[in-house]
Amino acid sequence: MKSVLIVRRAAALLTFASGIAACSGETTGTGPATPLPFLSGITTDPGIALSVSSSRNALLMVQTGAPATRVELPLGASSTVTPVDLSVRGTKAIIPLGNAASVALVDLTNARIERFFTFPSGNATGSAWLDDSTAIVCNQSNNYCGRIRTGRTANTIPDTVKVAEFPSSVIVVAGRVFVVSSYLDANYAQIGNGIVTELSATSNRVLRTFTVGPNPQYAAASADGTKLYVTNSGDYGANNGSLSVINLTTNTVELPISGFGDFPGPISIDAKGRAFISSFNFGTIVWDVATRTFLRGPANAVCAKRTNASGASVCRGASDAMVAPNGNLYQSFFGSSSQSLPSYLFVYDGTTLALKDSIAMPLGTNNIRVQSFK
Amino acid sequence: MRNVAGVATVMTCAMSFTVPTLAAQSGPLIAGRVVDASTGAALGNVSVVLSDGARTTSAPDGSYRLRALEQGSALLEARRPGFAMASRAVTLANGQTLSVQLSMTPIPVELRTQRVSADAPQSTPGTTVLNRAEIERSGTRDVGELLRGQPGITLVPRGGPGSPVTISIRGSSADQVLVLLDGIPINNPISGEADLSTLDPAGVERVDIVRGAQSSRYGGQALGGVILVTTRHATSVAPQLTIGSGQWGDRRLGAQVGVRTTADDRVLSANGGVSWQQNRGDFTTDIPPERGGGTTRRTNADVRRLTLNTGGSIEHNGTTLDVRADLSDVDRGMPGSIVQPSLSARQTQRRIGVTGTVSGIPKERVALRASLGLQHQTGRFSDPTPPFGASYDQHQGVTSAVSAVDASTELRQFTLLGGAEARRLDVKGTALSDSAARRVMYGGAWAALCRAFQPGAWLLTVGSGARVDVGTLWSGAYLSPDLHATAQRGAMRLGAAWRSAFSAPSLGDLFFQEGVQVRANPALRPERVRGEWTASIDVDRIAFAGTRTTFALTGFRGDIDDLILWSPDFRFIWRPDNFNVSRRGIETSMRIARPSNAVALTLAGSGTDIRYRGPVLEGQVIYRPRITASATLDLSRAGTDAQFAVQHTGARRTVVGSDINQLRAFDAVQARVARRFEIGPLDMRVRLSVENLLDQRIAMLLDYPLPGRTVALDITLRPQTRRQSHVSAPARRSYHFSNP
Repeated sequence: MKSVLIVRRAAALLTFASGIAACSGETTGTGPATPLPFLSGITTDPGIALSVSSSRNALLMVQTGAPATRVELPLGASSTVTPVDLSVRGTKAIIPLGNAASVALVDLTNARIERFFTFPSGNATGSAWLDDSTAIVCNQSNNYCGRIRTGRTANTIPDTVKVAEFPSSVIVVAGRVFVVSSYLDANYAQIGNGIVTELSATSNRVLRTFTVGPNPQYAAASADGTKLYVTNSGDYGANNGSLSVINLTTNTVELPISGFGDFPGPISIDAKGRAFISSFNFGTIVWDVATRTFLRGPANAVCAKRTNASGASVCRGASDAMVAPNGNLYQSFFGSSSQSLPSYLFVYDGTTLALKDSIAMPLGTNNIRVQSFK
Repeated sequence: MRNVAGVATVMTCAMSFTVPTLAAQSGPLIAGRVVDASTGAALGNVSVVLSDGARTTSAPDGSYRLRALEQGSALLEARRPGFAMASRAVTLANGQTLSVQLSMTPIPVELRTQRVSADAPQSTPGTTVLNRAEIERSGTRDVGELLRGQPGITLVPRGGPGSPVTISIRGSSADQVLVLLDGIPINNPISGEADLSTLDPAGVERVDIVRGAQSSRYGGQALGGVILVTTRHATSVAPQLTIGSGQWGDRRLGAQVGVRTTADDRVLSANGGVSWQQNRGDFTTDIPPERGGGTTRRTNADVRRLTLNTGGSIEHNGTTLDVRADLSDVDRGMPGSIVQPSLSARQTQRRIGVTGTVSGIPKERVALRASLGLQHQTGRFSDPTPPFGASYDQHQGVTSAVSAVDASTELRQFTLLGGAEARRLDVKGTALSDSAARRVMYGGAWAALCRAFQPGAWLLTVGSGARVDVGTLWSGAYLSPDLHATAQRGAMRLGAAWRSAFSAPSLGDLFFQEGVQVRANPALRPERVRGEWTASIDVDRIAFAGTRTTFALTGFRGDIDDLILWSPDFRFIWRPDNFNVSRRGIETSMRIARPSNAVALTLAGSGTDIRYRGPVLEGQVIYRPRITASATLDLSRAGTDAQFAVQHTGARRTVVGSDINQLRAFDAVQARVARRFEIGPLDMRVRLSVENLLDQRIAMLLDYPLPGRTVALDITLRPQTRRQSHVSAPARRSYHFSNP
């Protein structure tokens, strides 16, 4: 009788433990994958916000319709795992792991790491899917980009091609591959103005380069795919952020447009032609790509205000922002442990840009992507 | 008689402010009588002490009995005011009852001043003392290993033998533990951390582990605790030669020697030692899955270490001059993390120190000690081809001078202790920014008052103290008060204390040369423990059914304000900031020895809850295990000693505010077997050690794996005539009082 009780207790413990594992999303094992209904969101709002945290070394997915429903996937217990970027295609994501010099291929349906692809050394940051089985990933330390082919059995990243120093991000526009290089040396000092390198989508060669402004880090394309907008972060604290525009039809670069404040970073462009450019220092700029005017400039950026130690109302700053399928603008805030500021995902009305809601996030929430998987 | 009571009072009080001897373990049985050598009359009330720490007091008929002792050679001493100390060397064996009559010679002249040398009655709550015998039995290769398994202590090695080892006490940071080598801090002035791998146990007489907030006595940095390392004295150094070899290219060679003589009422002693160690350190370890999995050889982990220790003293007319010097020279590869290995990074560190101490009795009822220490530390860190970033070649040189004076006296029913200390650092090098202070001054003064009294069967001790510290790295003065009380009855002692501590930011925290993704923070505030409560119960040597049991349990609670922790900001630039954390925990240990079977089991454990306070961060601070525990079984049979130990280290967070990506808990098993052989005039001891017996993949830090199963062999040679030297003389404190 006693042994029966023990068996029952063990079974109950196992059930409980597996429940915890499922809830926590720590299903990185090799057992049979059980698809989660999580990615469907809720009926009235199928949106899923995806974010990687370089502080927690994790991928976090949150249902925008039910923010308490979330899945967190640990990406590796290593101090070198420092993800700041992810690229999604279908229900697959690739996440460059920063200083670990590798890339995680994640099955979002099961919140599970399928495999890792590794560079020999350096670090991995900046990625983009080229097609359903090929992605471009760059290596900032070694100044090259390589191709991940999910159909290959080998876990290395072959087919590398040299690009300008310090590649920070990759964007694929209408089948064309652009690599944004900050053009920094090993001490993170600027060598010169940044360079955007266009790679051949079919072969490992450089097609052309574009010289943009100082310290570019992110880019986004216009809805029609004819223009590439590159944010030049400039020098931190120098308030010299700018925007470069590359005409993809004529392959020409316009002189940088100034006035983008201190250290602007991630950029996204919505269907209305509004560019959302975020800065840790002031929030999110809104810039009309058609009229080339600020709808909300650095001085009145979209931000969730807080009261500082002096009692003044100040902007929190932003890590990233993008308009979701539900029409709302989602803006991530990294947080600050030293200033006792928690991390949030702020929700704004997509039209009025008025703050509607805030979703508590783990400290270190960085770039975000909000989309529907339905 | 009044003097005896006075001595007891001073001893009991003083132990609250200094570090007493941890009573060592017991042995077979000695019985006998103490008599007056001149008359043959029985002598009662004589303190009979065995050098392993066992003690008793003779009955009025002069009889005494010491039971449950450990086998081996030891020194039996009898002390009583008015008589010269009597001593006998004894050799104890299991099952043996040794009858020893001790004859004490009356001192023929009335003394105006009497020097009383007494063993500490019992350890201060929260402290542990490892004496020479225990150090030798441990067979460890550095002081870091020696402290492993002690309650409340977490050691953080960065690799295999010879790799840097830092220490945490009660959840502290490494730079919140003050490590004193013969009174001089060996904490790196830049990082604030002490590398315990640079200390060779062969040259160490004893190690005092003082847990908790201790700034009321030791000043800054004594926030988590203090480690006092005392190098060897000539009185305990028998000539010996040690050679050793082990896996990962481990090669060791060491020698110690000491002499002691008397001439013209002067006692002269000198000793010295040298040890050399070399490791390749290239063990095989796992590659994390995010780097492709599989295994790899950890290279560029070689270590060469040379240590020298020497000392000399002159005792004359109650005054002692003691001079000690030590040298540590370490050259090692810095293999980097397992994920980003470096094949070319190297580190050289050299430390040379000299300490001179004069102690004596300038006046009746006053004991005085003054010391001056000089130390020079140099370091070079270079990597021409780092795994990322630009090449670097940084060097530093720090010269420190420490002067201290302390005194004790008796005023009516009270004992007053006090002292002052000044320290100056001169810093050179490239590791700090141009704005860094190149000369740093610290100063502190402390005083303590206590009283012991005995109402009925209880011996009560109450005391208080405080220290004021000033320094050029912070503004204003820091006051660190202390209140404590103990109540002892028989073998049981209850204790309670309220203490405080502070730790100034290290030069590195304040002025580290900004580099790739690293930024110092000149605005850091000193860390504070404004009040640490401790409560303890000790039970010393309860005899039951042939066993002797020692038990200790301590609970503490002491939040840390402005704890300095490094964390990344939104640009992933790491910098130190102040955080408030709550902290509480327990430490416990129990030793059950059965001397007749020469077997002893030691259990130890601690739980430390150190959590962020505030709206943003929550949960346990990273890299602090909540639970650590150890179990050690010692066996001795026919010249063979064996020790089996298992140490449990609980899971540790690596992510601030989250349980994800934890370092898993592990149990490390060690086995050591030593056997003695007699080869002609020599006594040879052969020791086989196996670390990580179960060959587990373990790490204290992310990406810094520890080696798997490691086997090492040591051979020690020494003259047979000095065989008893493996039993150390118990540590003593001397106090001076006049006869009536």
